[in-house]
Amino acid sequence: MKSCYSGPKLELCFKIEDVIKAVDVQEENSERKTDMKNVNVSDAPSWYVTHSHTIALKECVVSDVADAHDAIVINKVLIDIAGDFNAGLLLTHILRISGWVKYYGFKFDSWICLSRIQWYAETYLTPKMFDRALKMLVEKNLVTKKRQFIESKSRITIKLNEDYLSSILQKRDTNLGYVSPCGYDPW
Amino acid sequence: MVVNSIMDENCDILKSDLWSDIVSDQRKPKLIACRTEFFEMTKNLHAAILLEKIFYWYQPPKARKSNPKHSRLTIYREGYMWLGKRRDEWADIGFTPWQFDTAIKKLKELDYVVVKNSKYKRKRQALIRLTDRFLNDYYLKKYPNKEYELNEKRMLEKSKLQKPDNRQSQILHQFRLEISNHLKTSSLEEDIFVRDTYLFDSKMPSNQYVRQIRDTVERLYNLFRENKKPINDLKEEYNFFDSYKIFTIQQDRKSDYSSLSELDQFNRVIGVEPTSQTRDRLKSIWRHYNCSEMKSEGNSLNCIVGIAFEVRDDGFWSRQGLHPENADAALLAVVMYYDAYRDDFKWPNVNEKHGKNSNLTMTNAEETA
Repeated sequence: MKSCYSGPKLELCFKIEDVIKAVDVQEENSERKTDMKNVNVSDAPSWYVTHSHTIALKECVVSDVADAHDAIVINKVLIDIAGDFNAGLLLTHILRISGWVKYYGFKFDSWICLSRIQWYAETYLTPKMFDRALKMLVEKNLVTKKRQFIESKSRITIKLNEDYLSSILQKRDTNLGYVSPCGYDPW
Repeated sequence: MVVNSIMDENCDILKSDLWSDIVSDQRKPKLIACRTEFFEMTKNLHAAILLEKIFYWYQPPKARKSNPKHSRLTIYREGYMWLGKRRDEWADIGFTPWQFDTAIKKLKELDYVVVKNSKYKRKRQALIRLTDRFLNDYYLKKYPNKEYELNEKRMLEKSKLQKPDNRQSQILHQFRLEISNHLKTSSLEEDIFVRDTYLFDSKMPSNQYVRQIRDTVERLYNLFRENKKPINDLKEEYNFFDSYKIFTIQQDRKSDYSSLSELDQFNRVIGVEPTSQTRDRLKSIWRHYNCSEMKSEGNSLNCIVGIAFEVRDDGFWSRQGLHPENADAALLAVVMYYDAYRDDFKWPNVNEKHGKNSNLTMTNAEETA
């Protein structure tokens, strides 16, 4: 996992504090919160990465493979772990985005909050394919899915279970290789 | 220190036991990367990734990257190189057999791929090959402004592939004799091919080509109509000056001419019913220049004019790589042309160039007229 984030650090075009969406947003909608079933009630601070943040991060990550070559990138090892092609594709992109965030100094768990259409733009998975792939990842405990309030809207958020994934990789004695950001040329 | 204990001092590296361990740990790429252009072409994720993997096998290996025509493929059948891979073997990418089926079905619908069943080591195997259409689409996707250059390259490749057949040239010779007997002109060909007209040539740039066609059409128009005025009056009527359009105008004036079938026209010209052999021969010729790519545009009369331009070159017979049946068609075209302008037509003076031998043509032609 360390190899994913190795490389020279770059300066971000926005502050890290802007990315953080504090729990205060949820407290404002406390009345609606009681009606919802799956709601994050814990007091720990949660961090959200929305679509606008991913665009800003992409601009900073110069040496990313997928954007450099205009390509759809999939990791073979993750396909084996996920057990399906589409699920493996989604897992690589979740890892890619969470990797960017971690690379720029995030210490806490970051939740990715993208709509299904925004996922289509990233991974070229259709909404139906995305739903099925996410379901498979959740069943295997590689990813946690939660419905939360973000910008006064209830949305699905995804988080990568890094500890579980790294334990699987240790059992297999494999490495993911370079996903992002790196200078690896697949061709 | 441990290594020294295992190895002898003068041992070859390839024979040592350590070497096999090192080779087994060879690194393989863990990423699959698919071009987004393929996704835009196919509009299907699985089809795009399958196309990428097939395209990978067409690329040269790293050691021979300098030569782009040296691919990774090894199977050679029916004049093409093929990629042989079983349905289960696509699990390398992570595809299930069902996913592979849907992806290849999509590629077949787009005509990007040709698939053929075969057997290898008593197991069914699909042989896959990329088509011309894929190359065309991907080239235009990558270089959208180079459509004209691509067409020129295609024409050059076609002209290289065509070879003259001895058998067809013999048939051509017989056909020439038949027509000359019917028309009672021994040297009809000379009259046709002696003209120093320019020629349609596909290798030229477009401006030059248009200019040359304009010159030839003006000369022909003056020659057959005996009208010394240039054709500038007609230019205003038609923005794009095309040789075909002149003949369509003249066709409209004589409506009876267009109503007849091709064989009836031939009878009308010769005045005698043709034999069964010539009838079959004529049918084959008509079929030829209605189906060929060069003459696909326009009706049959327009096709004839296009062929006539080709045949009127001086170096037509000496040139290699042209189909001899075009010459047959051109002869027929001239016969029909002669029929259409029977009243106004006169054979041009050939005496100035070719001396006494060409007198025969003058007399015979006048008889027929």
